[in-house]
Amino acid sequence: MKKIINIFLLIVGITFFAACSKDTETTPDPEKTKIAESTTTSGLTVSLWSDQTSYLVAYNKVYVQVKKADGSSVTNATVTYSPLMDMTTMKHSSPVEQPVYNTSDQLYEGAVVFSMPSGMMGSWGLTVKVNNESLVFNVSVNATVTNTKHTGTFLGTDGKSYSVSLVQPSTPKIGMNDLEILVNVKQDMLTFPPDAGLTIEVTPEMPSMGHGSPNNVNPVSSSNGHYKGKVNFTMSGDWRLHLKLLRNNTVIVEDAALDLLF
Amino acid sequence: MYKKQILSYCCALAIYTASAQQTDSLPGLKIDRTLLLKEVTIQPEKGISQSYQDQQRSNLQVLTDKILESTPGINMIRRGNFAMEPTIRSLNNGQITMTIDGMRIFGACTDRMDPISSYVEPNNLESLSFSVNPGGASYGSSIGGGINFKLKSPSFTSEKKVSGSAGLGFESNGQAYQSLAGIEYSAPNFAIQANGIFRRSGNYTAGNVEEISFSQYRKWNGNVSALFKTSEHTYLKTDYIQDEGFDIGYPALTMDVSFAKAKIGALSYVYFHPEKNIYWETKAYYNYINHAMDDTKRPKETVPMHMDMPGTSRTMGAYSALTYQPTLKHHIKARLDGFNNQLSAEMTMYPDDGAAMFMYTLPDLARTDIGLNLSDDISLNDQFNLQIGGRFDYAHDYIFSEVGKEQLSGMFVGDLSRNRFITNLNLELGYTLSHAWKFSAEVARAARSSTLQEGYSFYIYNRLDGYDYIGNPDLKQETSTNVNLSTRFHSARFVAEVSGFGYFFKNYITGSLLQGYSVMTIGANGVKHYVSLPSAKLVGAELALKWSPLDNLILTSLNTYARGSDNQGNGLPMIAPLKTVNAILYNFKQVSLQAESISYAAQNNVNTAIYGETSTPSSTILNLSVSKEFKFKGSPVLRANAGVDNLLDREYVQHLDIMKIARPGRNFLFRMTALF
Repeated sequence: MKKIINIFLLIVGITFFAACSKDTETTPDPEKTKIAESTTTSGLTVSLWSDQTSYLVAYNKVYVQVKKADGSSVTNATVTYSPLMDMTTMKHSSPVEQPVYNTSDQLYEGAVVFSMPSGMMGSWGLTVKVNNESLVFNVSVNATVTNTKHTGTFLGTDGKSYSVSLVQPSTPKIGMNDLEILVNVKQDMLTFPPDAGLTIEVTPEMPSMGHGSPNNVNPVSSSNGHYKGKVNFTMSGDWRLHLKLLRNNTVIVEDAALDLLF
Repeated sequence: MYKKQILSYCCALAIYTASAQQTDSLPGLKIDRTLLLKEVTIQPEKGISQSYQDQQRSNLQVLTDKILESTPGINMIRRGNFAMEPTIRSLNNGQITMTIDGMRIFGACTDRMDPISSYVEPNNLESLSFSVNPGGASYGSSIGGGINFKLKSPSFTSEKKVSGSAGLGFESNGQAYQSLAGIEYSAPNFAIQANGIFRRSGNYTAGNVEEISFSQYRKWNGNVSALFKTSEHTYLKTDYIQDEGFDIGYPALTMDVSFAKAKIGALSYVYFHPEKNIYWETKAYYNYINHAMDDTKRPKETVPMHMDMPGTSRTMGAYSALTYQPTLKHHIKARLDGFNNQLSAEMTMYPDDGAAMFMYTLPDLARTDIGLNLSDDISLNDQFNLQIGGRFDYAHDYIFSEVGKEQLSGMFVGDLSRNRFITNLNLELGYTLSHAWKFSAEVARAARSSTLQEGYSFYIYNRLDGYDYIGNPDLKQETSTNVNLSTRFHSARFVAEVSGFGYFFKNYITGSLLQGYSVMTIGANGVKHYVSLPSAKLVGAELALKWSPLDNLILTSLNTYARGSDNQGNGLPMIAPLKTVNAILYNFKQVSLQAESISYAAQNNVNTAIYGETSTPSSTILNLSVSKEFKFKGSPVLRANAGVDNLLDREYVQHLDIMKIARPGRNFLFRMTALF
């Protein structure tokens, strides 16, 4: 699988460089990595970008760059993402945030929560639809560092399945960090709408020592299932975020625990 | 006779006396001085205590700790057999200042394992000067004055001269030994001295013949000091001290020290004019302290999780100090000083499974302080003299790194730098009724800023009460109104000095429980932060008696008592109970014999619930010593000293002993020092 992608990337890369050698190419933020690239039948070059070197089992920002054959950026396309995990016996999607164009980056910016790594269990396909033309990218999703968990699925007391993902801090530091959590509820195998109607209580803990930290601020719903608060990491190391989800004072998930390491 | 003895010591020590004499030998009225050049701010009973210091210091081998401990009014907080922390009238830490030759130095250890007194040794010390009040005599803002360790300096001589010292000492308890050597070269325009000492001790044995594990230490200290005459009235002076301790055990704490290293350097320019009674010293200095705690030697079962806890302290500073006596009626001192201190300490914990965990316990804290001291000692007439003094500080505390700021952002909101103006004032009136009777009354307004640890510490474990401590950047200045009354009577054979004192605090800084905080230290009782109590008080008295029924026999009795209480009447922590030191000294030819008993009453004025202290039973120990001085043709002198501490091998603890680890049992001492 990886081999195919690599060969694919190599070919795409060669084409890309050949095509753009004379053009001033608008490169996104140098910190971003190009994950894949493909061309639509109408000749639009669509490339996928990530903040990391690969997509992870986590909340991932997924960026798309759309260029015409002459190298100029397409700024007004309608772009949508649909991730799909093909596990042979079954297929499922995962929470997704549809991209919008960001003029400063010249990228379409959205997000996908990949809920499991690609590998033996199955492979992820990310369908990017640009103005009614679909491209399917086979993306490799890697697990996060051992003993960490940036997203999880938790069965609620209401019988529904909730996807809870860490959006921020993406690079935790010792001290006060902005905390942002995304909650999606599973409607069916392919639909995971955001759930903005919850109350969340956060309790950080260092599992190696059993201590917590003071001055945390419970995340509150801001928009589209995002909840924003503060988390205080008094040390570096392993941290577990215990998240309690409530709806109308009823506990939905007692302990949606996410694990970080920094 | 006794005076003669001192005089003979002095002659022998002539090579050690400093050129700085000029300053101090201004016909000062208030400076009580022995011929050994010890300058003591007028605390009458200190005069009596000189005999102890002389005894202790004469062979240059006793730990600075021991010299301090034998000074009335000073009690030592003990965490191990080494590097005890001095308290003055039970005031400690940020309430007093400790300086080496006027230089501000701050220990690097978060657990106060390295008071700066542990970085000086008797063989590079010329004198200790104490003050019990802030104001004109001080080297920083404080509540209860401070201790200045005055460094020995070489001196210019009219002819070229080389002299030196060497010594060796052994103590039976702990198989401790020390060896020292020093050399000095003097010339009319140049003088240099170098001194070194090495000490080591194994575990000591307490009175019940129980070995106290982790009470060993090893250290060396070296210093070089040079004078360059630049004109008739000016000279340059450089000082450098390096002190390195290794493998120092702290039985009262959960960790030992793998190393404690200090590098202390100074450059001074001195203008002196004896005829005009001016001494003016301007000094720039820098010191760096590097300290690392260690738990790797402790039994595995007592270490729930291995951790590294290194810390550093850097201080650079300068001062310009002027002593001027325009007429016999005025003795003016002025001093402008400034320093910048940077403290950084961190902790890395290594769980058996899981990633290493790191944090700063002192997250890159800094203080810049600029201070001005002014004092005048005025002889109003033959009977009255008045001393007025003041010190004015501007202190700026801040966090000097981004990571430090970020870490503290989890604890405190907003900009954490703080500015404070601190004012210390003192006024003392002395009255000489007759040749025999003297009285003095002193009032002072004392103030101090919270220490950087009190302001910003990050889960620092306090072994005394078992709590993790978090700083509080918004602490108000701790202030106190100090009152001191003293009387001195002396006749040919009898001296009595008595003083009573009171420190009436406002915004007394102490710890208070923080609800809902989880502990960082495994096994800690909870988390406290520093708060200001509206009021607290410390009152006490000192009585010193000296009686010489015969010319060669001296009996002394030094008694100190203090009682502290907070605004609710609870006993304050770390207050030494009634202490009485009674000694008999007999001199015969070149031999002197001394027997001494040191007794502490029980301390029951404690509050376990609030301050974590438990009461301490009374204790008494008996020490004996004999010294002989051998003189040879020319100037060489050999001093031999033998003694036994805790003759009766009592098992005992004192109230300021953290965790009440038994103190050393019977200890035979042998010391020999040659001066040539």
